[in-house]
Amino acid sequence: MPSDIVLSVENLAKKFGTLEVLKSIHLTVRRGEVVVIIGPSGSGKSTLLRLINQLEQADSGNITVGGQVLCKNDPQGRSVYAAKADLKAIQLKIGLVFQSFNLFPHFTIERNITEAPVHVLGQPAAQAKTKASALLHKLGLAEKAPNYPFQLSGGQQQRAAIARALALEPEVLFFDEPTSALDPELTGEVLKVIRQLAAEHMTMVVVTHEMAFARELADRIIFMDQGVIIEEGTPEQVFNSTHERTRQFLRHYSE
Amino acid sequence: MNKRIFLTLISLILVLAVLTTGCAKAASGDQSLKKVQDAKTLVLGLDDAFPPMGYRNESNDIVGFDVDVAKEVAKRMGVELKLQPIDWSQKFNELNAGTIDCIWNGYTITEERLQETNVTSAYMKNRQIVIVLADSPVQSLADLAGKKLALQAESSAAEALESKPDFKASLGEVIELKDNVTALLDLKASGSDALLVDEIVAGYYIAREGKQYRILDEALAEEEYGVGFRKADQALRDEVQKQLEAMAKDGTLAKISTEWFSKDITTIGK
Amino acid sequence: MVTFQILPYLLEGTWRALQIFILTLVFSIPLGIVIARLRQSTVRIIQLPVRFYLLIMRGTPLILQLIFFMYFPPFVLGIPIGRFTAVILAFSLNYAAYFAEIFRGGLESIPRGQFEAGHVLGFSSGQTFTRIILPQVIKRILPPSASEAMTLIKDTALAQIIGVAELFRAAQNSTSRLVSIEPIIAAGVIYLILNSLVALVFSRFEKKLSYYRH
Repeated sequence: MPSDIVLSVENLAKKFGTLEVLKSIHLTVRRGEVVVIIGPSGSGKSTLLRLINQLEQADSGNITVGGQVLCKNDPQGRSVYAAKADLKAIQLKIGLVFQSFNLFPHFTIERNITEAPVHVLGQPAAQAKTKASALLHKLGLAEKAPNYPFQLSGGQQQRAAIARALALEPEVLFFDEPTSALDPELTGEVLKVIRQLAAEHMTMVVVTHEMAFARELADRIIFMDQGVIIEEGTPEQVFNSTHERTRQFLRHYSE
Repeated sequence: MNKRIFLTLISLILVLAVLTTGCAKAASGDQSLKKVQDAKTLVLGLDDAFPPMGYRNESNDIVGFDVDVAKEVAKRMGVELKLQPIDWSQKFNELNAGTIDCIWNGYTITEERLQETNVTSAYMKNRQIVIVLADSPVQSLADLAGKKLALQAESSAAEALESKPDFKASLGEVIELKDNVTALLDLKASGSDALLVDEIVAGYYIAREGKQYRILDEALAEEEYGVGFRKADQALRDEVQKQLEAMAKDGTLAKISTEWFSKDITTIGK
Repeated sequence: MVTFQILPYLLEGTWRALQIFILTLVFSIPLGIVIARLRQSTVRIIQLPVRFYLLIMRGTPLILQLIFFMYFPPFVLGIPIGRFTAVILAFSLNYAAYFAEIFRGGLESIPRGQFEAGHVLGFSSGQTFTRIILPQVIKRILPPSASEAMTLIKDTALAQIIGVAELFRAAQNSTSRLVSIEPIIAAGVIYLILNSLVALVFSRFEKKLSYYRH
């Protein structure tokens, strides 16, 4: 396996009851790549991210993160997960930014960022604080360190959440519709941060409805519908697709 | 279906209850006296709000006629007397659970209590009398027809009333209150028209409260006080009985009675 | 004044009531948290007994439970359990049931995203619970817990049914001797003072936790 592959998903499937949310998904992400996943709601984009981040359990398929196997099919074709101790190590290789930020309301912005480095990685508090302040500075939130989440705008909260994820230095950062909960005038500041990270060659997988942004930033775009990947390719290829469903979806967004 | 589950449950509980009761009784021979002597303590259960038999004085000590007599009995038995305040409604539970050794607190001897407990012979006579407010029109038991009668719940007054079903039926309402003083306050506040109470207890209150109250000439029942033990505790009951008789003979009982009631109203050995 | 004369006695009863209050809180709150978490279990053999326990404790009078714990164990085990122990046992088990339900309500009001954020950042489920969820739950359940604590102050009066002389019993005894309801009124004032303190402590706590909003 080439060492620049940081995420590999094979044959992944997930059902909620009788509803097939994901059917035989294949996905490979290389180091430094920005992959954008688009598709109508209910197409399984978020579920894919949640499976990779261990927030849901796969029914079948393999997921490998940074060379470590998260889950793998047994002979009966059912996903078997790694040992509990490994699960944590695997999770620490990746980060997830939520649609609804999910900052911890009872902690200051600084503590939101330092809590995991200190209590999960065991970093000294001083070191974690220095790192946090550097991250906040970079994301334009330097003066917000002592504030509580409720005192920040939505855009600022989402940027703080990104800083929180970055503090653990993940190999891949996932974004689950990071601007969907924001007022239109606030999405810009979040997209700017993601753009900034892309420029630094941060490996990212972004689920979004911001088509212009996808087109501008993605190395590769994946279009999903009804639990399957309909097509994938460069922005050029996907936005000029001849595939009927892709065209239909994109028409919807260009109106 | 539901009914069946309910019935099964009830029978299960009953079987359990019978089994446990059986076990508890089978387990003990009559070690009752020895147990008290070994422990060097006789635990006396009483309602500490029952003057003048047992109550708290100004300095919060439990005093009373029964308490003084019991102290003397314990002294003669060579054991310490431990006064254990209980809720009067729980007296049989207390006795059966072994948390007290005897009930000694103006414990009226009744048919039902003879079934439940092993009681000494009577040491004092008592009547269930009816108290009304001084200005009440009620003069006789018959006048109470349709009226409200108050009494202490679970007391011998309640049992005395049960034994007079005709009188009970004639009443408008029977109000059961937690203790005698609540009943007395209820009467004072005209929540009830009359109060059925032990004569000796009433004597204490009338002495305190004076002319506010009047006692009807007719009494409901002539009764006697005894000391109650667990049914199986024959040896302990006999020992206390023996000491009481000895105290009657040497005049100690009369002396204590005089201190509390200004005359000897005890009946044991007479 | 009668009240002045009986005050030492009433204060003794007050101390007993406070002992019941404090020990009950000490035992029932942690127990309630454990029960709330067991109640949320998806395993039926765990959840069903817990639900049964909650039903019994909340579905029967506390006074009945007091009598049960005092007189039933000696019957079965042959050893008396002790009055005060029985009181603390009954009160703790009873209040744990109420605290468990308050706590479960608080737990269920925390957005799933908080648990998920904890997981994604690598916290163990224990760390997520103690560092992230519990502090937020506490803030949310303070108002209903304050009511529960105030009820507990008043419920201590029930302990007298098994012969524990708490404040109300002390007042009733004085009433019996003096044939006056003044001791009862004095006791009422003491209960009111105690509950004012409880209310004050809780509102201090609420104020302390008002630095953030959900």
